Amino acid sequence: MITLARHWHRRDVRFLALIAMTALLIALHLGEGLRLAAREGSGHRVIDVKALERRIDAGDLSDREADWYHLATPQESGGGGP
Amino acid sequence: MSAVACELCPRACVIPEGAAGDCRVRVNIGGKLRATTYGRPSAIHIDPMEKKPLYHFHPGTQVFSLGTAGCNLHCLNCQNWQLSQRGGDEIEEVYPAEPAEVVAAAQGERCRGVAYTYSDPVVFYEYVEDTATLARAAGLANVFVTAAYINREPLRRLCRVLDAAHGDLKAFDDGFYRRVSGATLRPVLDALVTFREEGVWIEIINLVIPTLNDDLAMIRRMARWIVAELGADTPLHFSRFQPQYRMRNLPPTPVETLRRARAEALDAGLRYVYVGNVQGDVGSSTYCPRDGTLLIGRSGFTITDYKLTAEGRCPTCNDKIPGVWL
Repeated sequence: MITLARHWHRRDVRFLALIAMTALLIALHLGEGLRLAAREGSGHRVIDVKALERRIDAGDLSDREADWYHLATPQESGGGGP
Repeated sequence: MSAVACELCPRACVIPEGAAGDCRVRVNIGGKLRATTYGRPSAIHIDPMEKKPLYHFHPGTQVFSLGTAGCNLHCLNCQNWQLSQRGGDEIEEVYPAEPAEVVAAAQGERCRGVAYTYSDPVVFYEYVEDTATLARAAGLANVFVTAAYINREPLRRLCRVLDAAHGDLKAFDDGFYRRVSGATLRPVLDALVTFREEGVWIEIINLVIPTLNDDLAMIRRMARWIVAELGADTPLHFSRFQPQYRMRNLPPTPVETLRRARAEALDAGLRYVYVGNVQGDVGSSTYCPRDGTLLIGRSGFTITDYKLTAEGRCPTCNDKIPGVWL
């Protein structure tokens, strides 16, 4: 009887630990999303830059430098710095 | 890795190396921001000025119209989404045309001007500025068809070479902008005021979408704001929604809704209010606000009647009608 109780206890603990870890991961994921959403000016899109450069080389697109930008400050780039 | 911060529009994108801004076409390559669609339009047409729509600006003339891929708004009802919601690298059809070539082509086609349109020309700002500078020197007018989601400083510089703007005021409701277009209202209002301050002729369009922005009280608030900030002589166009792109669940706008919106805006003090996308509607013609004389009759994009004097006056009462006439 005691052996059975210990067996169930260990199983419960492991199960509860699994639930807690899952909840923590979900919370971190949601928190990161909220942090990014709250940080103004974070918008960008990941693109296939190699494909883009091939089209630039072929003349389909331009590499003309744009106006109206600056190197991002560490604060703007989320602490990573330019 | 050098991230750059774009200063062009209120999104203020911070773009890591090898990524694009939210507009998809301004790309950070090697720590420098590149305007990848400069000189690379994906749509070129010769349109009547009425199609922009501009009703008080060189009516009945043709305008050389071009647009590139990309947009800084993401409207669920976008009618040009195949162009606007793609990056330059995702579009096969590209027609290389440097600014001088655009101006030469516009002149060759006997167009009155060049229109920067289809997608939002904010995202191909440098191309607009260079082309417009050459076009103005050649005696052509420059027309900017935009949702006006642009910062004030770059807009002020661009206004030096613009003659007319067609500003899309999607709703007088910030929640609508956030839900439907992924943007905000305040910067749009600021940009519209900037056009007026800089002396650019401006007309406003409002696409009326059933249940989303057809509330007459909101339309009245919008009309009052236009009267107060842009002037009672600013033309306002109410346009008919057609289900498309990601908003196919709503019906086309009933014509009666557009007529009620027009009546509300006229009652709020605007003097030139139009109904668009409705063939032959009485609300698509221009009337003298003083005596009701039909000044310019329209059916679709065609002018059916033109009674303004050479000085742009009503032939009955001689009142000056605001606009840039022939």
